[in-house]
Amino acid sequence: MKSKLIEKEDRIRPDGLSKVTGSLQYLTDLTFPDMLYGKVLRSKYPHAKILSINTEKAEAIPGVEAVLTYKDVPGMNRFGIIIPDQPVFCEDRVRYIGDAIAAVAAQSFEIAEEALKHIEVVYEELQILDSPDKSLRPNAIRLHPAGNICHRSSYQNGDVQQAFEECVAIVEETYELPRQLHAYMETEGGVVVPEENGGITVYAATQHGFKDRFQISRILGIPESMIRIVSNPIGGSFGGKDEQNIQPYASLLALATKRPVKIHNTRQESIRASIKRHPMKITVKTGTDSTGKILAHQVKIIADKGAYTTLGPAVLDFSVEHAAGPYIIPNIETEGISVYTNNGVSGEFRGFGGNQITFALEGQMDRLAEVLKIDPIEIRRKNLRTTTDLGPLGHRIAPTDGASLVLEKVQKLSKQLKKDYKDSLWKRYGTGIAITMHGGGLGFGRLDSAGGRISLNKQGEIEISFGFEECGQGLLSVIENLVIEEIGCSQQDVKIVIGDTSVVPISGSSTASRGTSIVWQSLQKMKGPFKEKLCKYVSDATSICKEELYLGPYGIWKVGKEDGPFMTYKECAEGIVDQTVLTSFHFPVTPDAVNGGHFLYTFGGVKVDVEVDLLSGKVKVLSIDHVISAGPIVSPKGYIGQIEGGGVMSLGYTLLEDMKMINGQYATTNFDSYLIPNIVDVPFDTNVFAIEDLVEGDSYGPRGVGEIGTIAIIPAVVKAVHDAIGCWVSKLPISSEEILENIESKGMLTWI
Amino acid sequence: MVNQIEPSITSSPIIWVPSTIEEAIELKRKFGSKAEFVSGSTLLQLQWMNGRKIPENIISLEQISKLKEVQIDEDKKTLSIGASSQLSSYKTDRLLKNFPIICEALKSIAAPAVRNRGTIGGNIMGGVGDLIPLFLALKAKLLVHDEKESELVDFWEWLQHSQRKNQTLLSTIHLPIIKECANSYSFYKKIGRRETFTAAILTVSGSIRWDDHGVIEEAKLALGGGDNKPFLLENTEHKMIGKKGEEIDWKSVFESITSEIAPADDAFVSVDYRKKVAANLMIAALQSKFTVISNGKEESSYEV
Repeated sequence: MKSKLIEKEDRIRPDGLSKVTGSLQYLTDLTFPDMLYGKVLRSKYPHAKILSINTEKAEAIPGVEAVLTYKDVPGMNRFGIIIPDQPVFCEDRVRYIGDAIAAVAAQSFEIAEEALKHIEVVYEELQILDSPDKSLRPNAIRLHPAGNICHRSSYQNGDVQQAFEECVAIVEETYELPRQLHAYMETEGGVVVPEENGGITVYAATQHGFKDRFQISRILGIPESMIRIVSNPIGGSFGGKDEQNIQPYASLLALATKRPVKIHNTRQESIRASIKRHPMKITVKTGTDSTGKILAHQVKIIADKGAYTTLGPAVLDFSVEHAAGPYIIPNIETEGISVYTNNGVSGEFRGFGGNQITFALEGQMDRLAEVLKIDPIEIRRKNLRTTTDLGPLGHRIAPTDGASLVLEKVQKLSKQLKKDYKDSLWKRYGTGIAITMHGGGLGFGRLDSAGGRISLNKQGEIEISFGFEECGQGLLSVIENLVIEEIGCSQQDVKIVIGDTSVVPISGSSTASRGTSIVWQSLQKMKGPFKEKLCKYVSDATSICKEELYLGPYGIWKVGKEDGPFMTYKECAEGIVDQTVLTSFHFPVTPDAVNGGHFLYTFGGVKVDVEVDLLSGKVKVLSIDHVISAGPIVSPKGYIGQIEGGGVMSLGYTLLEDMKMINGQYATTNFDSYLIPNIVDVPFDTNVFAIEDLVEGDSYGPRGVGEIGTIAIIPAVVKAVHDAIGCWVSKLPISSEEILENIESKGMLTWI
Repeated sequence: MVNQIEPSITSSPIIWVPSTIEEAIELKRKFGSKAEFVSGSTLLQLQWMNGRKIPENIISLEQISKLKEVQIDEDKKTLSIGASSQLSSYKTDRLLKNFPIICEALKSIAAPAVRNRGTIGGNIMGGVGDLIPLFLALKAKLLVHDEKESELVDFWEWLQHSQRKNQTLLSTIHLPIIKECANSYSFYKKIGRRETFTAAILTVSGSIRWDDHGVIEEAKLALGGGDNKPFLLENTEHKMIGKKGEEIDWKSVFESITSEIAPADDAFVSVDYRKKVAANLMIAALQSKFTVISNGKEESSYEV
């Protein structure tokens, strides 16, 4: 695909070759001597009491080495990143189809599977609450002791009711968004190895090794220092492997059997147990004056939390925060509620609630533009934030003109007709645009520790280390490129150490588009002292003035001597004693005490062209132009990959994907019926335009781009469909059936 | 339970690799219901994953070279396609390349890797293939074998009435060729939930033939694909025969199609939608042709 990125110096990504050739060993590929295989028994019902669990018959099967239930959990029988409310093993009640009841370790996966069939669980079925509506009824059975509301979040400014009275145009709509599967290539899995000291090493994917260590320590009742997490490389995560999945079971089984235990979910097991994107129903009422200036914006969000909390409250907070997006709205009232149900657990997912709320917000902008007969770009410009405006929760944020730069570029792109799509007998064509604003980092009030370490190791390599994981996002390239740029060394000099709690510093989680930001900020803090240490050593050892020395390819160079390093890194490493620099800091956060409020934002805009087939109602996206404002590009191919890939992921969310549940059961259990886009669904005409400028004085450097490409494309496609056939879609994925009904009702097919 | 995982310990099946049709039939006779014919095993693998029992004996048809032949019989005016011809043979087979509609249909099935293994016969015998409506519309005959006899059967008759499909080995598909003839038209359309590598929401195919005055002499309209039971729309066909294009009342054709077919229903796509889309696709295809006919002469290569 074409790139409109300015050609910058680029390198082949360090993990590229082994990934494209398939030679890379993932953690689920590991085997250890004497290893056992684990399987987890999941609930038969979406909601039931457990009357009894009998594991005797399973234990008697030859080759079965352990069968564990809640009785065998030495520590806390719960997990959950925010609130530990999900049972490792259910004691007396199951709340969704993925709830775990027992786990088996056996000589083979087959024997473990057979053993699961012989675990006798007696259930008493309970009423299934398969929608937030049902859970919110006054007489609904309580799914958790405090009731069925997991979390409430709100923001209010001004007086919307009064403002609506002054509005000339008011649009009210309910937007419905489905449950999405992360669809990572590598299903959850790994191996836990018991260590001689009574501790364990966990080889399993996660987006935050130290958080896993904490959660597992709580479950096992052993100190964190006895747990080592190796969590790299990962075959895709997108938020989906942030929470515990198989780790508690493999850990408990490994300690119980004193042997390594491997668990690797099948795709069906993965779909059954894993977290998904929150389905949301968002009702919005927005009013403007006659010029299109928004006076009032009222938003109600209902999120289907599923059975347990995980990061749900933070996702809802994020949606509430982004309800106004990049627009300045004087009167706003946003209320969000996240409701427990007996559906699959909803949790963290690339975009983190921004996708859902932006679909609603941009949908309102387009509907208002139509009512007022204003150009969609004009209505956005009229309401757009300026460089120093406060953030969407009325809080101070890093000054940014990303919103207007993105909108300007989108406008230019919309004026350039790339292809003359002419309506034909059974095809109609349309164009849509949308923009968005997306916070990076965890937000105010959350522990958001960042940091890194740089050192000259014994082998003479510049060893750079972060507590992050490579889950496909291109982290290694980001680190490598930044180290080369900031330190001045060569590619061969760099050694990257990540994804192992025994050796890495605390950097926080590989989430929230924060990785690139933190690597850059850490290097800004570390590069000076590190260069200083090396130059001082060389200076002391050679009596050359420190100021004449600098770090370059393969070693420390002397000004004026251009034919090679004055001292190689290897030579330096042989004598140097003080060679390490560590940094730890908090991710930049707003000084204002607003729950979850972000400080660093990125901006994205999208223009798409679509084709609507009048005979089938099917929508095909023909071109996608992304415009991104996220500061300087660190790794050009990684940047394009994140934006294009994110766009494709949301193309799926817009057109195809719905992890549908019927009576608390998944209607699809594999990729034969859960369809994600493939190469033919992705337009060849996909372009990424990067705006690298930051406002003068910005000291925060490049922002992460892991999520920003997933947001604006959704409303842009929906607007393009409207442009093509005049039909507003408010429920995703876009239903061909709904489109076809609209086509029929407009009399576009003469035989109907 | 819909989703209760029911794993089981399975032993590997024995794979038999006969080199003639006779040997294959003999193996099937010997093992009876404990054996299944397997061609490319692309659909079967999916079904095995989803819980279909793996037979104790697999009779692979891969090495029977006679099943891979594609031939034209000029005397009988027949194209015969060996059942083990790969779905990807539209790219490689010299003869098949002359039949654009067959190539179009083959291209619409699954994905390149699957087409390299999957076969034309397997697509038919699997019961859900996109080629079924095409071959129904093209009035295919099948050469089928069982332990008792070999027989050339009408495809539609056989689909409706044969009780012994599981015991049968399909060796060849015979399609009548109408050569160098401008008075005929055939079409094939597949709609899936995504652009490619997807089970069909539905697949429709049709063929019509008219006389020199533009009066329709023969019409075949077929539905199938995915979970839709293959179906020939005989009522609608009868309504069109004997008429010229401009005499056809398309509203009544739409009504006839939607009332005649009974497509599948699932959690993703409704029956009602499938009915309408089937009718829309057929009508649009037919109308496009009648516009051309009324505009006069047109080009034709081979038609089947």
